[in-house]
Amino acid sequence: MVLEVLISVQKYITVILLFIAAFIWLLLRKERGEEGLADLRINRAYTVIVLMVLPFIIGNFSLVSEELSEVGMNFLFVLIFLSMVVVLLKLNKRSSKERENDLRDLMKESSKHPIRYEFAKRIVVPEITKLRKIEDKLDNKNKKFKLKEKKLDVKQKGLDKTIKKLEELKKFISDNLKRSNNAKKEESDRERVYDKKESVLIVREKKLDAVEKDVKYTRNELKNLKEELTRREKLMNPRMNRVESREEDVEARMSRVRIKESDIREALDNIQILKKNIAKEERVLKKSIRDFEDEKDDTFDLKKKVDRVTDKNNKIKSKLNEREGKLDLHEDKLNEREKKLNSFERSLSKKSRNLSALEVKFGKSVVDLEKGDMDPEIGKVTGEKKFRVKKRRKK
Amino acid sequence: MSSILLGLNVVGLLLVVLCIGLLIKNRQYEKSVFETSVNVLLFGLLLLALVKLVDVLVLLNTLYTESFGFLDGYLGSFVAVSNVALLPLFGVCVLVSVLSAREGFENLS
Repeated sequence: MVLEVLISVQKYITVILLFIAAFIWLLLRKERGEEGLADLRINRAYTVIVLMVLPFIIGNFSLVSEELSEVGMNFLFVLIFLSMVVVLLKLNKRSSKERENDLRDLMKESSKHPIRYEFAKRIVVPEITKLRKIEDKLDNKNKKFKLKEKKLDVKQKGLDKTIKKLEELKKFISDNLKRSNNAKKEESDRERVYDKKESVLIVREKKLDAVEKDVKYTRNELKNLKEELTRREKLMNPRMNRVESREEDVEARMSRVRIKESDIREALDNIQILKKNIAKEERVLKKSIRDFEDEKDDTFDLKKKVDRVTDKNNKIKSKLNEREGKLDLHEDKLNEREKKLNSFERSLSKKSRNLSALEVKFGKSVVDLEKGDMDPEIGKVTGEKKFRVKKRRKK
Repeated sequence: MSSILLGLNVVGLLLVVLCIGLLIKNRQYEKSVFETSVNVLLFGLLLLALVKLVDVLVLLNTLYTESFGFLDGYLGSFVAVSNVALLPLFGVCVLVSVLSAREGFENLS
């Protein structure tokens, strides 16, 4: 209730305020006239807005219904503001045109506008000072720029040199690139070859892996064999000891055999000596044969005996030759049968005994021949001197 | 009837906003003596625009209660504020602007 009263009071106050304002404005307009209000460009807008009192009067003091008064009030409101918009638009256009004209007047040199000097003082002069400062800065910058240009010229010369060098380098690099491209091609070819080789190597690696597996398998087998060998060595050790002892025996025997060999060699040497002696005796015999041939005529009987003796000698010769052959054979056999000395030992010992017996016999026969004892088959053998003495006596 | 009122209020609101824009444009051509007067008038027009906005919202609420029903709680206070404070302030602003304009004229003369 209080609020409603307050609202109605406030509406009345508003109407009163607007009425006062309209009254003041209309008085002012009456006093000064339209030309006096020209200083305020939007004076018509003020007169229009002062008319806002009318809708508020209609709204508060209407004799018709509330709705109709509201509609009328809003209608008037719209009309007033529409007229105000039109007025403001016109004013805006007019003032903008005037401003444009003023600005054009300012641009004309011939026309002297009062604002022109003020514009020149306030706006143009500071701008000119700013521009001069900027000009000075630009001059300084130009000087610096020229100095820089000189420096840059010097640098450019250096750069030209460097550019020449770079061009040479470019050529060099291009050549190198070509070479590198060729090298790349070669590398690609090599890579292909390497790939092929790699594939081959891979196959070989697989094979090697298989071989490695085999090697591992064989190693394991070798390990097993080694273990078996160690076991067998352990088992063989006593046997080896036996073998060593036997070897020692064999060596002892071999030493004996060597001793016997030396004995045989000595015997053979003796035989050779005997052979030489026999050869000498043969010569002697030949001489004696000659003597006998000389005596053939004289002693026919002796001739037969001499023939017999010669036959016997021949037989003995043949026997000696045979024995020599046998001895040679025995020598070869002995050389061959050194390894089988154990088996030949007995035979050799027997043969050595036989040989010793033969030697003894042969030695006796030779001694007899030297002594000149009469052979029962050949007869009395005389010496050469005696034979010559006898020959002289016969003559 | 309320739809006519709504239409008139919407047009009035748009015209007020347009007037504010035009006044701001014309302000630059005015002498500095009348600057305060124009500024006060602009402030009064801004208050009047708010009053018109409140009226539009009230009418929208009465016509389209379903879509603008959420404004029921605030509209009473809006209407009270606009009638108690904004309208008298508009009147004061108009009066002050007229007085300052007269003062400006006196200063110029």
